[in-house]
Amino acid sequence: MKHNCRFTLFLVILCASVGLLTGCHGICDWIYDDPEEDLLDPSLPDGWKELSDDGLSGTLYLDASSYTRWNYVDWLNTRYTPLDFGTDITPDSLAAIEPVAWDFAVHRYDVKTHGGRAAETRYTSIDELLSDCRSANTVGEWLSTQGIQLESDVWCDSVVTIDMSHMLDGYLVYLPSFYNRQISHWLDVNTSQMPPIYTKSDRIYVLVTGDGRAYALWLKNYISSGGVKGFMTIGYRYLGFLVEPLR
Amino acid sequence: MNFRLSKILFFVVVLIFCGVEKAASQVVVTGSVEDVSGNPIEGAFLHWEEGGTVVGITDTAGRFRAELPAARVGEKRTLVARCPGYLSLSLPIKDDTRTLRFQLETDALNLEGVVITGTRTPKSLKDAPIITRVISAQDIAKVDATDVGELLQQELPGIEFTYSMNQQTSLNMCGFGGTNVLFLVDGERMAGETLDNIDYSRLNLDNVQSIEIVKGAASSLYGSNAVGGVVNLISREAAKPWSVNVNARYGSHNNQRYGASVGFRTKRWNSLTSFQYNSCGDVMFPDPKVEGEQNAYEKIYAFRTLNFKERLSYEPIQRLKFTARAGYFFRERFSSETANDRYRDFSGGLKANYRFIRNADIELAYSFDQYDKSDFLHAFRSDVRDYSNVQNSIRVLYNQRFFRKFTFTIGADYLYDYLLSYMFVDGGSESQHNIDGFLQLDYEPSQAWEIIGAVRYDYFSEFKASLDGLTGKLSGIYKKKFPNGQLSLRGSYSGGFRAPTLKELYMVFDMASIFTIYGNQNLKPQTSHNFQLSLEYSRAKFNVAVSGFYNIVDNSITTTWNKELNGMQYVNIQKMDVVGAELSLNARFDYGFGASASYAYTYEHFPKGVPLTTSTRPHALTAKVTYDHAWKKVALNVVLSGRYMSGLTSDEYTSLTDLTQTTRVHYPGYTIWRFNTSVTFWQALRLHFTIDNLFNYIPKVYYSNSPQTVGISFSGGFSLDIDQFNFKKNKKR
Repeated sequence: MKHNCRFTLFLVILCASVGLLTGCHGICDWIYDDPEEDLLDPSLPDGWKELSDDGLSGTLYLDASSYTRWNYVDWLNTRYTPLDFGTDITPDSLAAIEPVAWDFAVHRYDVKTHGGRAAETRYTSIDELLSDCRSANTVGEWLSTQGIQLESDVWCDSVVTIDMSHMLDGYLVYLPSFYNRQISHWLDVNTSQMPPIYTKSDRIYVLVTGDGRAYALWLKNYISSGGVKGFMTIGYRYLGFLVEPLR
Repeated sequence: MNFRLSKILFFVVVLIFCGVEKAASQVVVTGSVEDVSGNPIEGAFLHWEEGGTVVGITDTAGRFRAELPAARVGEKRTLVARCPGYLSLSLPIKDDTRTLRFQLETDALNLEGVVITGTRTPKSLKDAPIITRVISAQDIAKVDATDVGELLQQELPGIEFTYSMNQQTSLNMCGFGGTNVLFLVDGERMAGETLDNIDYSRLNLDNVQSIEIVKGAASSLYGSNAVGGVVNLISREAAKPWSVNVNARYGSHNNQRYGASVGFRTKRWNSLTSFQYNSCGDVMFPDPKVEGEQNAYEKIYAFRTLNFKERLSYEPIQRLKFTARAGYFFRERFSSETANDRYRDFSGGLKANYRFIRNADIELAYSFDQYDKSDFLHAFRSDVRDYSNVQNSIRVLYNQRFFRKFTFTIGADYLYDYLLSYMFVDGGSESQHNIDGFLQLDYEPSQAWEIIGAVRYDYFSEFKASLDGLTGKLSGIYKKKFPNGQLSLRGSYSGGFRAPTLKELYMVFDMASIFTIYGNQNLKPQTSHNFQLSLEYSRAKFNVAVSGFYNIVDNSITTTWNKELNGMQYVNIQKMDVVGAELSLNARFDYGFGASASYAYTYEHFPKGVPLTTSTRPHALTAKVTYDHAWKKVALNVVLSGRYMSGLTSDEYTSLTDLTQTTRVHYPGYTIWRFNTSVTFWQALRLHFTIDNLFNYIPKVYYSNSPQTVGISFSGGFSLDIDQFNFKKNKKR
């Protein structure tokens, strides 16, 4: 009987301990990772997550989660300019507030260039691309031997969505804009079912700016460390002018 | 106030002492218990029916010796012989009765099985005043289902598990959805939900003793959510001194299931530990066969689940029992290339049952359940949680039987509900307290009649339930016994109640920038009035039941478009009705054959302009044919079962923002058959094989409510009870 009393006491203590341990707000928090704030290195320019010492390669990190924001990247001056606007924006009013110098811009998963041209390559490894490019005399020669056809932006009235809130009324609000179909292949969003299916391309894209600089770029990720979609992590490598050998 | 308190105390003391029976001079009755072939039955219990007390037990020769108090003048008494697997039999005891001979029929339909869910007190299935459907461990093993959804669809008509958005499983049980059907595990609630449904894959069927299904409202006993029914999974305890089982199954689409359990039982201890792992690859849907239509989904996502359960009980003295349980559940769904959806549950509980005196018992229980959702982000190799529902509850339940005809049940619960969710502003958290008290009186004036009344009040800290929190129940059964059967007429009124959830009160969720869904702190609880009537005729090997129900549901909670907010918002809607009927037949034939069939009809009526349209298929049918045969060392079991769900025609709104125009939509009906067979060797090794969707039904288009099948599929496996091998004997050899 003494043993029973002792055991009963043990159970009561166990019960109290379990109650205290479990707590009202749950247990085993340690299983999970805290979503790290995507803090960027303050020594790097805004929008840059990585930048090589020679400035030839780097990684961009752009907040493209908003439908009313274009994110402009200027490689030449290592400058990033996020531009927020309202849903009453027009192409003209946007043009009036756009930065003067920029190379390409990202809106959600859409891309436009500043008078540039771009193509999707067969490469999924930047090392392989550089190796092949190095074997050519110039970047332009490499492009032509590889049969890479560069494509300019096209003007689209119904691609860049800036207001989704009327979807239930049967329409979306678009901002007529230039749009580069090639680079925009980097992420396919199939909205035929909810939630949409996202399929990221592993391909590397070549972008030749309006003044003839060639860059290789690829989409590393489109979500933040907290799991929010629209945070674009973009790797790039400067290749050189078309008429120059690989830098 | 003191005077009132002392009156209550006096009443309680009187109730307790009424249950104490004074010792009196005794009469000894001896006799035997045997089956219809004259074979002795060992371990049969003899009850003095009026008191329900065990007065004797049969020995290996089927003989018993029962000591009964001497009868009062004019008192009619009976002695009842009960044994699992047999129908109980009661024989009258006259003043000069000294010997009795009981011949028990086999309980082929499990009519003597004890059920608890309908009344929170143990009742035999045939005598329970609330219609209860039981799925036994044997039924579960025969169907070889992995989780409760697969099983319920196969066994009961009018139950359908389909997909809602993002391939989340959604229940419809006779017109009631996931928020209106309460799922319990050993009487305890489950935390967490997705799109108004609990995670049904948590309810795996490993070590489940039985499943009790009570259709209709039961909020007077179980509180919120018990509007359309209660499904209670009752865990198994170890039945042998030691037991070890390993099992495995492999099937189409790389579906794999592995399980193991270890149990032991001593005089005071009982433990059962089980583990199960289940996984399946992607299941691709074929292209739609109707031009212009598209499938709701391209494929069923691959998944894996892991389930661990432990149940330990200890009886330090005969009247006191402690039960501890712990569980861990993990599910991972491979739904995208960037992130896996992860779901976890941690559960535990401690329960103490104490029998004060012969006719009273008390239960104290603490329960903990935490359901988490997280995303495993491939790029960061990180597991980020965005949802956690934690429920801590304490319950006290007291049963007292008095005057031999009354059973009084009183209980109270306290629940602390905490919810952290990505659906709240900045992924924040909300919480609420729920306190309730309930009272039930069971009156059994004679063996033919039983009436139960109950009342309950629920208080929630986050909204005013006022009188809506008050629910009641009144049900009764009339039994007419015939020489070879029993006719039972049951009728009941029961109130249903569903409290607004924290999600429905506080949600602010941006739906992909399309619109925002807002909670509503002015929500009222949903209430319902459920009326049921049933007639059942049972014989040892045959049972037929017909029942009908009528539900009036008021203040249902759903979302609708709010022009001012320019988004969706949770609101209460006006009254709606759900009417239905069910017919079921169950028979066992000679030579091991058995057959059962059930038909259910459901009709939902929604007033015009409410933001809901019918999603319930009106006609549903299940049918099953079984064959069992046991030789000396080998047993064979064959089951052919099928279910038919009729087509559904619904007038659906053409727009979410404007509920004025509808379009008629038709979803086709379907029939799916399943064939299971198993062979058991030496009662230890069971080999089983299943063909699902036997006639290769493939939907022409996969709508959300289409059956999730891509045609015929196969699975096979084994289950090995290692303890069934007699090691001692083998050693001697």
